[in-house]
Amino acid sequence: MYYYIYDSFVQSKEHAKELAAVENRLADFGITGNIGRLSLFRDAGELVGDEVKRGAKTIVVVGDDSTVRKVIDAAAIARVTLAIIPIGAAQVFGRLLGIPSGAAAVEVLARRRLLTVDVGKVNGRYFLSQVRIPAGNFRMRCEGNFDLKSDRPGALQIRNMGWVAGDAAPELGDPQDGMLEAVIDAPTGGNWMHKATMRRSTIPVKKMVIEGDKPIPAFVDEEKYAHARLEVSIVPHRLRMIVGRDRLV
Amino acid sequence: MFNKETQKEAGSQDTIVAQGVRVEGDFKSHGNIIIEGEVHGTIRTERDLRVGEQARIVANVWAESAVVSGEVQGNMKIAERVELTPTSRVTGDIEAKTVSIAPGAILNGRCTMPGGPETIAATVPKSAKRSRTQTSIVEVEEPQIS
Repeated sequence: MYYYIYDSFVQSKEHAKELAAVENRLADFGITGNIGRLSLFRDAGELVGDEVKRGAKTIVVVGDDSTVRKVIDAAAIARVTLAIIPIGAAQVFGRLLGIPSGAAAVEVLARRRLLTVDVGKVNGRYFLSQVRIPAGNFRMRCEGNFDLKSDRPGALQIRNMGWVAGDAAPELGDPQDGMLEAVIDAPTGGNWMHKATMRRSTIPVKKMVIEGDKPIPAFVDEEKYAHARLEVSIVPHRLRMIVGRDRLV
Repeated sequence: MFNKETQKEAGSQDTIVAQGVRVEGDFKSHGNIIIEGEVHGTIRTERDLRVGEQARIVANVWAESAVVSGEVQGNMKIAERVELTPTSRVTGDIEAKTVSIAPGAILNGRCTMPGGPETIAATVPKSAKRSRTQTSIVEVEEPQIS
Protein backbone atom coordinates (compact mmCIF):
# COMPACT_ATOMS: atom_id res chain seq x y z
CA MET A 1 0.00 0.00 0.00
CA TYR A 2 1.47 3.32 -1.11
CA TYR A 3 1.19 6.58 0.79
CA TYR A 4 2.13 9.81 -0.94
CA ILE A 5 3.45 12.78 1.02
CA TYR A 6 3.20 16.03 -0.91
CA ASP A 7 5.31 18.98 0.14
CA SER A 8 3.40 22.25 0.29
CA PHE A 9 5.20 23.83 -2.68
CA VAL A 10 4.28 21.07 -5.19
CA GLN A 11 0.65 22.14 -4.97
CA SER A 12 1.45 25.64 -6.22
CA LYS A 13 0.50 26.83 -9.72
CA GLU A 14 4.12 26.57 -10.82
CA HIS A 15 4.11 22.78 -10.41
CA ALA A 16 0.43 22.06 -11.15
CA LYS A 17 1.06 20.67 -14.62
CA GLU A 18 3.93 18.47 -13.48
CA LEU A 19 1.95 17.15 -10.53
CA ALA A 20 -1.03 16.34 -12.74
CA ALA A 21 1.27 14.40 -15.09
CA VAL A 22 2.62 12.44 -12.11
CA GLU A 23 -0.86 11.61 -10.86
CA ASN A 24 -1.99 10.46 -14.30
CA ARG A 25 1.02 8.21 -14.61
CA LEU A 26 0.40 6.72 -11.17
CA ALA A 27 -3.14 5.90 -12.27
CA ASP A 28 -1.79 4.31 -15.49
CA PHE A 29 0.38 1.98 -13.41
CA GLY A 30 -2.38 1.38 -10.87
CA ILE A 31 -0.23 2.51 -7.92
CA THR A 32 -2.26 5.39 -6.57
CA GLY A 33 -2.79 5.66 -2.85
CA ASN A 34 -3.68 8.00 -0.03
CA ILE A 35 -2.15 11.45 -0.06
CA GLY A 36 -0.89 13.43 2.91
CA ARG A 37 0.16 17.05 2.68
CA LEU A 38 2.92 18.61 4.73
CA SER A 39 1.96 21.89 6.33
CA LEU A 40 2.68 24.03 9.35
CA PHE A 41 0.19 22.00 11.33
CA ARG A 42 1.02 18.54 10.03
CA ASP A 43 4.59 17.32 10.01
CA ALA A 44 6.03 14.22 8.44
CA GLY A 45 6.33 12.32 11.70
CA GLU A 46 2.58 12.53 12.31
CA LEU A 47 1.66 11.71 8.72
CA VAL A 48 3.96 8.70 8.48
CA GLY A 49 3.08 7.42 11.93
CA ASP A 50 -0.67 7.55 11.26
CA GLU A 51 -0.44 5.88 7.86
CA VAL A 52 1.86 3.12 9.03
CA LYS A 53 -0.74 2.26 11.67
CA ARG A 54 -3.27 2.02 8.83
CA GLY A 55 -1.04 -0.41 6.98
CA ALA A 56 1.08 1.74 4.66
CA LYS A 57 4.28 -0.06 3.72
CA THR A 58 5.70 2.34 1.14
CA ILE A 59 6.01 6.06 1.68
CA VAL A 60 6.51 8.13 -1.47
CA VAL A 61 7.96 11.61 -1.02
CA VAL A 62 6.71 14.01 -3.67
CA GLY A 63 8.96 17.07 -3.56
CA ASP A 64 12.60 18.05 -3.52
CA ASP A 65 15.63 17.46 -1.29
CA SER A 66 14.14 19.48 1.56
CA THR A 67 11.05 17.27 1.46
CA VAL A 68 13.20 14.15 1.76
CA ARG A 69 14.91 15.71 4.78
CA LYS A 70 11.57 16.32 6.43
CA VAL A 71 10.48 12.70 5.96
CA ILE A 72 13.70 10.70 6.43
CA ASP A 73 13.59 10.77 10.21
CA ALA A 74 10.02 9.45 10.39
CA ALA A 75 10.67 6.88 7.66
CA ALA A 76 13.77 5.50 9.40
CA ILE A 77 11.93 5.26 12.72
CA ALA A 78 8.95 3.48 11.13
CA ARG A 79 11.25 1.31 8.94
CA VAL A 80 9.04 1.69 5.87
CA THR A 81 10.10 1.46 2.23
CA LEU A 82 10.88 4.94 0.99
CA ALA A 83 10.54 6.25 -2.55
CA ILE A 84 10.92 9.68 -4.14
CA ILE A 85 9.18 11.49 -6.98
CA PRO A 86 11.48 14.50 -7.45
CA ILE A 87 9.68 17.74 -8.21
CA GLY A 88 11.40 21.10 -7.87
CA ALA A 89 14.88 22.47 -8.41
CA ALA A 90 16.87 20.67 -5.73
CA GLN A 91 17.06 17.00 -6.74
CA VAL A 92 20.35 15.64 -5.43
CA PHE A 93 18.67 12.67 -3.75
CA GLY A 94 17.00 11.87 -7.06
CA ARG A 95 20.41 11.88 -8.78
CA LEU A 96 22.01 9.76 -6.08
CA LEU A 97 19.21 7.18 -6.30
CA GLY A 98 18.86 7.23 -10.08
CA ILE A 99 15.33 8.64 -10.05
CA PRO A 100 14.41 11.08 -12.82
CA SER A 101 12.26 14.11 -12.27
CA GLY A 102 8.46 14.29 -12.37
CA ALA A 103 6.30 11.75 -14.22
CA ALA A 104 9.35 9.75 -15.39
CA ALA A 105 9.94 8.80 -11.75
CA VAL A 106 6.69 6.86 -11.66
CA GLU A 107 8.16 4.20 -13.91
CA VAL A 108 10.99 3.72 -11.41
CA LEU A 109 8.43 3.52 -8.64
CA ALA A 110 6.43 0.88 -10.53
CA ARG A 111 9.55 -1.21 -11.19
CA ARG A 112 10.15 -1.33 -7.46
CA ARG A 113 13.89 -1.99 -7.55
CA LEU A 114 14.80 -2.12 -3.87
CA LEU A 115 18.02 -1.22 -2.11
CA THR A 116 18.54 -1.65 1.62
CA VAL A 117 20.69 1.21 2.87
CA ASP A 118 22.40 2.30 6.04
CA VAL A 119 21.17 5.46 7.68
CA GLY A 120 23.28 7.89 9.67
CA LYS A 121 22.29 9.41 12.99
CA VAL A 122 23.45 12.73 14.40
CA ASN A 123 22.36 13.67 17.91
CA GLY A 124 19.44 11.25 17.66
CA ARG A 125 18.24 12.49 14.28
CA TYR A 126 18.53 10.36 11.12
CA PHE A 127 20.26 11.48 7.96
CA LEU A 128 20.78 9.87 4.58
CA SER A 129 23.66 11.52 2.74
CA GLN A 130 26.28 13.15 4.97
CA VAL A 131 27.25 15.51 7.76
CA ARG A 132 29.51 18.26 6.46
CA ILE A 133 31.53 20.58 8.68
CA PRO A 134 33.51 23.43 7.08
CA ALA A 135 37.10 24.02 8.18
CA GLY A 136 37.28 25.12 11.78
CA ASN A 137 38.52 24.27 15.25
CA PHE A 138 36.92 21.14 16.60
CA ARG A 139 38.01 17.88 18.19
CA MET A 140 37.27 14.49 16.65
CA ARG A 141 37.04 11.21 18.53
CA CYS A 142 36.37 7.97 16.66
CA GLU A 143 34.88 4.74 18.03
CA GLY A 144 35.68 6.00 21.53
CA ASN A 145 39.22 4.74 20.90
CA PHE A 146 41.26 7.26 18.98
CA ASP A 147 41.40 10.97 18.30
CA LEU A 148 42.00 12.65 14.97
CA LYS A 149 43.97 15.89 14.93
CA SER A 150 44.89 18.11 12.06
CA ASP A 151 47.95 20.39 12.08
CA ARG A 152 45.83 23.05 10.40
CA PRO A 153 42.03 23.47 10.42
CA GLY A 154 40.46 21.18 7.84
CA ALA A 155 36.98 20.48 6.54
CA LEU A 156 35.24 17.29 7.61
CA GLN A 157 32.63 15.24 5.81
CA ILE A 158 31.08 12.20 7.43
CA ARG A 159 29.55 10.35 4.53
CA ASN A 160 26.89 7.71 4.32
CA MET A 161 25.64 8.12 0.76
CA GLY A 162 27.64 11.23 -0.05
CA TRP A 163 26.53 14.25 -2.04
CA VAL A 164 26.66 15.83 -5.49
CA ALA A 165 27.19 19.57 -5.44
CA GLY A 166 26.08 21.18 -8.70
CA ASP A 167 28.27 20.15 -11.61
CA ALA A 168 31.15 19.08 -9.39
CA ALA A 169 32.24 15.44 -9.33
CA PRO A 170 30.08 13.38 -6.95
CA GLU A 171 31.63 12.77 -3.53
CA LEU A 172 30.13 9.42 -2.71
CA GLY A 173 30.14 6.92 0.12
CA ASP A 174 28.87 3.35 0.25
CA PRO A 175 25.46 3.27 1.96
CA GLN A 176 25.50 -0.50 2.25
CA ASP A 177 28.80 -1.21 4.00
CA GLY A 178 27.64 -0.60 7.56
CA MET A 179 30.20 2.19 7.93
CA LEU A 180 30.46 5.95 7.70
CA GLU A 181 33.41 7.51 5.95
CA ALA A 182 35.16 10.37 7.73
CA VAL A 183 36.88 12.49 5.09
CA ILE A 184 39.23 15.25 6.25
CA ASP A 185 40.54 17.78 3.75
CA ALA A 186 43.34 19.74 5.40
CA PRO A 187 46.08 21.99 3.98
CA THR A 188 49.76 21.17 4.38
CA GLY A 189 52.90 23.03 3.43
CA GLY A 190 52.75 26.27 1.56
CA ASN A 191 54.27 29.66 2.31
CA TRP A 192 54.15 33.24 0.99
CA MET A 193 55.33 32.00 -2.39
CA HIS A 194 53.61 28.66 -2.76
CA LYS A 195 50.03 27.73 -2.11
CA ALA A 196 49.34 25.05 0.51
CA THR A 197 48.43 21.59 -0.75
CA MET A 198 45.10 20.09 0.29
CA ARG A 199 45.49 16.51 1.42
CA ARG A 200 42.65 14.08 2.02
CA SER A 201 42.38 11.53 4.80
CA THR A 202 39.70 8.85 4.65
CA ILE A 203 38.82 6.86 7.73
CA PRO A 204 35.92 4.38 7.92
CA VAL A 205 34.14 4.68 11.26
CA LYS A 206 30.97 3.47 12.91
CA LYS A 207 30.80 6.23 15.47
CA MET A 208 32.35 9.66 15.81
CA VAL A 209 32.04 12.55 18.24
CA ILE A 210 32.91 16.06 17.12
CA GLU A 211 33.21 18.69 19.83
CA GLY A 212 33.99 22.37 19.84
CA ASP A 213 34.22 25.12 22.41
CA LYS A 214 31.29 26.83 20.70
CA PRO A 215 28.50 25.57 18.39
CA ILE A 216 29.96 23.89 15.32
CA PRO A 217 28.29 25.02 12.09
CA ALA A 218 27.40 21.72 10.42
CA PHE A 219 25.25 20.74 7.46
CA VAL A 220 23.22 17.55 7.84
CA ASP A 221 21.93 16.41 4.43
CA GLU A 222 22.94 19.97 3.46
CA GLU A 223 20.60 21.50 6.01
CA LYS A 224 22.17 23.80 8.60
CA TYR A 225 22.56 22.34 12.07
CA ALA A 226 24.79 23.93 14.70
CA HIS A 227 25.68 22.26 17.97
CA ALA A 228 28.72 22.23 20.24
CA ARG A 229 28.75 18.43 20.32
CA LEU A 230 27.82 16.17 17.42
CA GLU A 231 27.46 12.45 18.03
CA VAL A 232 27.40 10.76 14.67
CA SER A 233 26.83 7.06 14.17
CA ILE A 234 25.71 4.56 11.54
CA VAL A 235 22.57 2.45 11.73
CA PRO A 236 23.24 -0.38 9.28
CA HIS A 237 20.59 -1.68 6.88
CA ARG A 238 17.89 0.53 8.35
CA LEU A 239 15.88 1.63 5.34
CA ARG A 240 14.67 0.09 2.10
CA MET A 241 14.54 2.50 -0.81
CA ILE A 242 13.17 2.25 -4.32
CA VAL A 243 15.98 3.17 -6.69
CA GLY A 244 16.59 3.57 -10.38
CA ARG A 245 19.01 1.71 -12.60
CA ASP A 246 21.21 4.79 -13.07
CA ARG A 247 21.80 5.40 -9.41
CA LEU A 248 25.16 6.78 -8.27
CA VAL A 249 25.31 4.83 -4.97
CA MET B 1 49.17 -6.45 -1.91
CA PHE B 2 46.67 -3.61 -2.11
CA ASN B 3 44.24 -5.46 -4.34
CA LYS B 4 41.05 -3.51 -5.04
CA GLU B 5 39.10 -6.64 -5.86
CA THR B 6 39.89 -8.30 -2.56
CA GLN B 7 39.02 -5.05 -0.83
CA LYS B 8 35.53 -5.11 -2.39
CA GLU B 9 35.01 -8.78 -1.55
CA ALA B 10 35.70 -8.14 2.13
CA GLY B 11 33.45 -5.10 2.06
CA SER B 12 36.09 -2.97 3.82
CA GLN B 13 37.58 0.29 2.65
CA ASP B 14 41.13 1.58 2.71
CA THR B 15 41.96 3.90 5.58
CA ILE B 16 44.19 6.81 4.56
CA VAL B 17 45.84 9.11 7.08
CA ALA B 18 47.26 11.95 5.01
CA GLN B 19 50.17 14.26 5.77
CA GLY B 20 49.21 16.85 8.33
CA VAL B 21 46.79 14.55 10.18
CA ARG B 22 47.62 12.75 13.42
CA VAL B 23 45.88 9.77 14.98
CA GLU B 24 46.23 9.29 18.74
CA GLY B 25 45.00 6.17 20.48
CA ASP B 26 44.07 2.59 19.59
CA PHE B 27 43.63 2.67 15.83
CA LYS B 28 41.87 -0.36 14.38
CA SER B 29 40.70 -1.09 10.87
CA HIS B 30 39.29 -4.07 9.01
CA GLY B 31 40.76 -2.86 5.72
CA ASN B 32 44.12 -1.74 4.37
CA ILE B 33 45.78 1.21 6.11
CA ILE B 34 47.92 3.81 4.37
CA ILE B 35 49.77 6.21 6.68
CA GLU B 36 51.28 9.40 5.28
CA GLY B 37 50.78 11.37 8.52
CA GLU B 38 51.38 10.44 12.15
CA VAL B 39 50.06 7.76 14.45
CA HIS B 40 50.67 7.57 18.20
CA GLY B 41 49.34 4.59 20.12
CA THR B 42 48.62 1.23 18.48
CA ILE B 43 47.70 0.16 14.96
CA ARG B 44 45.81 -3.01 14.18
CA THR B 45 44.53 -4.27 10.87
CA GLU B 46 43.60 -7.65 9.46
CA ARG B 47 44.90 -6.50 6.09
CA ASP B 48 47.89 -4.58 4.79
CA LEU B 49 49.73 -1.57 6.16
CA ARG B 50 51.72 0.92 4.12
CA VAL B 51 53.86 3.55 5.85
CA GLY B 52 54.74 6.42 3.54
CA GLU B 53 58.10 8.18 3.37
CA GLN B 54 56.92 11.22 5.35
CA ALA B 55 54.94 9.13 7.83
CA ARG B 56 55.84 8.84 11.49
CA ILE B 57 54.47 6.05 13.64
CA VAL B 58 55.07 5.84 17.38
CA ALA B 59 53.03 2.72 18.00
CA ASN B 60 53.03 -1.04 18.17
CA VAL B 61 51.72 -2.50 14.95
CA TRP B 62 49.77 -5.61 14.07
CA ALA B 63 49.01 -6.32 10.40
CA GLU B 64 48.73 -9.06 7.81
CA SER B 65 51.61 -7.57 5.83
CA ALA B 66 53.45 -4.25 5.76
CA VAL B 67 55.52 -2.03 3.50
CA VAL B 68 57.48 0.57 5.46
CA SER B 69 59.03 3.62 3.81
CA GLY B 70 58.93 6.01 6.76
CA GLU B 71 59.62 6.03 10.47
CA VAL B 72 58.28 3.44 12.92
CA GLN B 73 59.08 3.50 16.62
CA GLY B 74 57.48 0.43 18.08
CA ASN B 75 57.24 -3.31 17.69
CA MET B 76 55.75 -4.79 14.55
CA LYS B 77 53.97 -8.12 14.55
CA ILE B 78 53.20 -9.01 10.95
CA ALA B 79 51.48 -12.26 9.98
CA GLU B 80 53.02 -12.61 6.57
CA ARG B 81 55.55 -10.27 4.97
CA VAL B 82 57.21 -7.04 5.97
CA GLU B 83 59.19 -5.00 3.50
CA LEU B 84 61.53 -2.19 4.58
CA THR B 85 62.28 0.10 1.70
CA PRO B 86 65.48 2.21 1.43
CA THR B 87 63.93 5.21 3.24
CA SER B 88 62.54 3.24 6.18
CA ARG B 89 63.71 3.77 9.75
CA VAL B 90 62.42 1.20 12.23
CA THR B 91 63.24 1.23 15.94
CA GLY B 92 61.68 -1.79 17.53
CA ASP B 93 61.30 -5.52 17.11
CA ILE B 94 59.85 -7.11 14.01
CA GLU B 95 58.15 -10.46 13.92
CA ALA B 96 57.10 -11.73 10.48
CA LYS B 97 57.21 -14.84 8.30
CA THR B 98 59.14 -13.01 5.62
CA VAL B 99 61.32 -9.95 6.06
CA SER B 100 62.72 -7.98 3.16
CA ILE B 101 65.20 -5.23 4.02
CA ALA B 102 66.37 -3.02 1.17
CA PRO B 103 69.82 -1.41 1.13
CA GLY B 104 69.58 1.90 2.98
CA ALA B 105 66.84 0.75 5.36
CA ILE B 106 67.57 1.29 9.06
CA LEU B 107 66.40 -1.30 11.55
CA ASN B 108 67.39 -1.15 15.21
CA GLY B 109 65.73 -4.04 16.96
CA ARG B 110 65.23 -7.78 16.95
CA CYS B 111 63.99 -9.61 13.91
CA THR B 112 62.09 -12.83 14.61
CA MET B 113 60.80 -15.15 11.92
CA PRO B 114 58.51 -17.80 13.38
CA GLY B 115 59.10 -21.37 12.27
CA GLY B 116 62.70 -20.63 11.25
CA PRO B 117 65.14 -22.05 13.83
CA GLU B 118 62.83 -24.92 14.91
CA THR B 119 62.31 -25.94 11.27
CA ILE B 120 66.06 -25.77 10.64
CA ALA B 121 66.73 -27.77 13.84
CA ALA B 122 64.49 -30.56 12.56
CA THR B 123 66.53 -30.93 9.36
CA VAL B 124 70.05 -30.25 10.70
CA PRO B 125 72.09 -33.43 11.32
CA LYS B 126 72.78 -34.27 15.00
CA SER B 127 76.48 -33.67 14.51
CA ALA B 128 75.92 -29.99 13.60
CA LYS B 129 76.07 -27.27 16.31
CA ARG B 130 72.80 -25.66 17.33
CA SER B 131 72.36 -21.94 17.92
CA ARG B 132 71.55 -21.07 21.55
CA THR B 133 69.16 -18.31 20.67
CA GLN B 134 66.08 -18.41 18.48
CA THR B 135 66.31 -14.77 17.46
CA SER B 136 68.87 -12.83 15.54
CA ILE B 137 69.69 -9.17 15.88
CA VAL B 138 69.98 -7.45 12.55
CA GLU B 139 71.47 -4.01 12.19
CA VAL B 140 71.55 -2.62 8.73
CA GLU B 141 72.94 0.86 8.32
CA GLU B 142 73.79 2.95 5.35
CA PRO B 143 77.28 2.02 4.18
CA GLN B 144 79.97 4.65 4.83
CA ILE B 145 81.49 5.65 1.54
CA SER B 146 84.89 7.34 1.91
